[in-house]
Amino acid sequence: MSSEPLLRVENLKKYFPIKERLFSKKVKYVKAVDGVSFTLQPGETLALVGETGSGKTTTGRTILRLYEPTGGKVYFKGQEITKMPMRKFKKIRMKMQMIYQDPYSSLNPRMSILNIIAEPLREMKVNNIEERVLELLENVGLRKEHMYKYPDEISGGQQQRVAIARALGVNPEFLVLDEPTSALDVSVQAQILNLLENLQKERNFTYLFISHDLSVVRYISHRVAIMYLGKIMEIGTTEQIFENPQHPYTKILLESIPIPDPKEKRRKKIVLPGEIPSPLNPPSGCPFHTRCPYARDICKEKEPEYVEVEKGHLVKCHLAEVIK
Amino acid sequence: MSVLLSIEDLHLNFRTFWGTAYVLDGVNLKINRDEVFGLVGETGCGKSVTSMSILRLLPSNAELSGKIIFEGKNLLELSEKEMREIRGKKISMIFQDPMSSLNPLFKIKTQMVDIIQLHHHIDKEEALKKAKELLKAVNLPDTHRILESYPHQLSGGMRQRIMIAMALSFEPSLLIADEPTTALDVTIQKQILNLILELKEKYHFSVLLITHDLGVVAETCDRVGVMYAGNIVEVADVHELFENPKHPYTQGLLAAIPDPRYKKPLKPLRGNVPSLLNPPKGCRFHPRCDYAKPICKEKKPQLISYSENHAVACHLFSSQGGDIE
Repeated sequence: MSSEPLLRVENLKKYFPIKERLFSKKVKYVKAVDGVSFTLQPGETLALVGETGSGKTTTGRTILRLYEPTGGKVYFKGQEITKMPMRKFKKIRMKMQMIYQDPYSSLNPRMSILNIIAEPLREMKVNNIEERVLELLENVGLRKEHMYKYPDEISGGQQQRVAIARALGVNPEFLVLDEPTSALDVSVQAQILNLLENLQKERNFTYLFISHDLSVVRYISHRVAIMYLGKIMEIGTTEQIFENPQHPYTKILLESIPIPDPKEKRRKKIVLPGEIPSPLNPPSGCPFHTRCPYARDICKEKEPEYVEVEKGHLVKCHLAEVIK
Repeated sequence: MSVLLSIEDLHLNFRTFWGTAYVLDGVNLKINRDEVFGLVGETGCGKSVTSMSILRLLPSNAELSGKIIFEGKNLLELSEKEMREIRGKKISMIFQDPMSSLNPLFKIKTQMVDIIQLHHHIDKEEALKKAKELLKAVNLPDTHRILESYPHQLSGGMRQRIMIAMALSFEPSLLIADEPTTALDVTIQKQILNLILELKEKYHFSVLLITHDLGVVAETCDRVGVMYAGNIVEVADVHELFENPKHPYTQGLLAAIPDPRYKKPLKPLRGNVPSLLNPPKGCRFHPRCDYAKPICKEKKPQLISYSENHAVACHLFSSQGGDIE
C-alpha cells in the first residue's frame, strides 16, 4: 500500500428517511450504508459482497453521488468529492462510470447502438464519432454490423457489451460494476468476465465489483469486502477471505455457495438460520448477533470494532478479538 | 427403481406472428420414483416449457405432440376435467417468484384454505387445521402470524416456503420446482433446497428441479438432463455427468462456470443460442461446436445410451461407447 489510492472511502453513510404515515412528522431512517470505509489501489478489483438489503448497491451509488451521502468522505485521487460543487464534480465524474445489472433497461430502446455509444462522445466534442464508435465496439468484441441495430435486436450479452463500450468512450479510470453478469447465462457470463478482466489488464482500470455471487467474486476480484446490514463485516484479499475467513457470517456465506461438484454433497454444512433483519430496525450491538451461532452476551450489547487479524485483513467481530 | 413419469418424443411448436417456433424437438426423459431429477440449460433451451407441457399449462398457440406417461396414463390424451385431478393433486409445481404466484390481495389464510378445500372436501375449520400442519412441516412455526399476513408482509424465503406448503397439501407424487431459489439469497437458497430434500424423504415424492445453476444441480440432484435449444443432449447420474461429461455442450458449460473453491480460467462457449424460429439443421449445437463433422449439419443425433446411467445425443459417440475422435 505504498502508492496513493485511487479511491478512499471514509466512514460513508447513507440514511434514507421514511415517514411512518403520510403526514406524520416522526421520521425514521433506513441506515442503508452505515459507516463504510475502504481504499482502492489503481488497477485493483474490490468486490462488495452481501445479501439483498446489505447496502452494497447503495454504497456504489453513493460513491458516485447518484445518492448524496448522509455522512463520511470519498476521496478520488486524493481529492475530496463528496462536498464538491456539482459543476466541478462533473469533470471528475467522467472518470467514474457505472455498469448495471440489467443491460436492457440501461440502454434507450429508441436509440441505435451507434447513437447510444456516440451520445457521451458528442458531449465531449470528439471528432470522427463513427470511427471512434467502431473502435469501441471492437474493443468489446462487437462488429460494425451491430452499429445500426437497436437494443432489442441483440442478445443480453451483447447489450452488456454495448453498455461497457459506452462507458469506455469517456476514458474512465474507475468503474462501479453492479452485478454485471447476474442477468446473463453462464456461458455469456464467462465472456463478459473475461472481457472485463482483459480491459483491466490493458488499461489499468479499477473496479468496484458489486455481487452476491461468490463464485464470480473468487474469479474476478483481488480483494473482497463482506457487507451485512450496511456495514463491512470483513475485508481482506480474496485469498484471505476464501481460505481463512474469520467472521462467522463470512464462514457461513462461503458454506452456502453451491459447489459444482457432486462429491462435495456429502460434506456436512452449517445452514444459516433466519433471514437478514430489516435495516429499519437493526439489532443492537453486532448486527449479525441474531443469526450468529457463536453469539455471546457482549455481541448483543456492544458493537465490535475492527480487528486486524493479518496485514490488510480486518474483521468486525468480538470473537476475532478473543481468538487473537 | 420404477419409472414415475416418462416423456417420449415430445414436440412443441408455437405458432407466432413471425412464424413457427420449434421449441421442443423430440424430448425424451424418464423420472424415477423417489429421485430428484435436474433439468439444466440456459435461457430459452426449453426446460420450463417441458414442465409446463407436463401440466398442460400452455397457451392456445401451442402445438404439442408425443407422449407424457404419468402413472400409466398418457397425460396428453386426458380430458381437461381429468387433467384437473392431476394438477396440484398428483403433480404440484412451485415457481421462481413466489410473490407472483400468491395473490397480493388476500391473506395467506384465505389462499391456503381455498386450495385445501378445493380438493379435500372438508369444512373451513379443518382446512385451517391442515394449513397449520403444513406450515409447521415447512418450518414456519409461527403459524398464526403467517396465516394472518398478506404476501408482501413476508420475506421471499417465507413466501417460497408457503408455496411449498401449498404444493404439498395433497401429497403429490411429483413436485416440479422451476428455479425455486433463483430469486433468493444464497443462505436462504440453502435453507429452501434442504427443506425440499427433507420433505422428499418424509413424503416420498419425486422432484423435477429446473435450474440454470450447475452448483445447485451438483448439490441436490440424483440424475441430470442437460437441455440445449429444445433437445435433451445428455442425461446421466449426477456424479457421472460432472466427472465424465460427454456432449461438447455439457463440457463447454462446465468449463464456463467459475468455481468458488479456486480460481480457474473460464472458457466461454463461442456464439449464441440459435433462434428457435429458424433452428440449425441436424444437430442444433453444431454451429457452436468445436468438433462438428459434416454429418452434424445434416442428421439429428438421437439420444443413445453410452453406458449404464449415461446417455448422450451426439454423432461423436456410437452406442458402443466410442469417444470423441
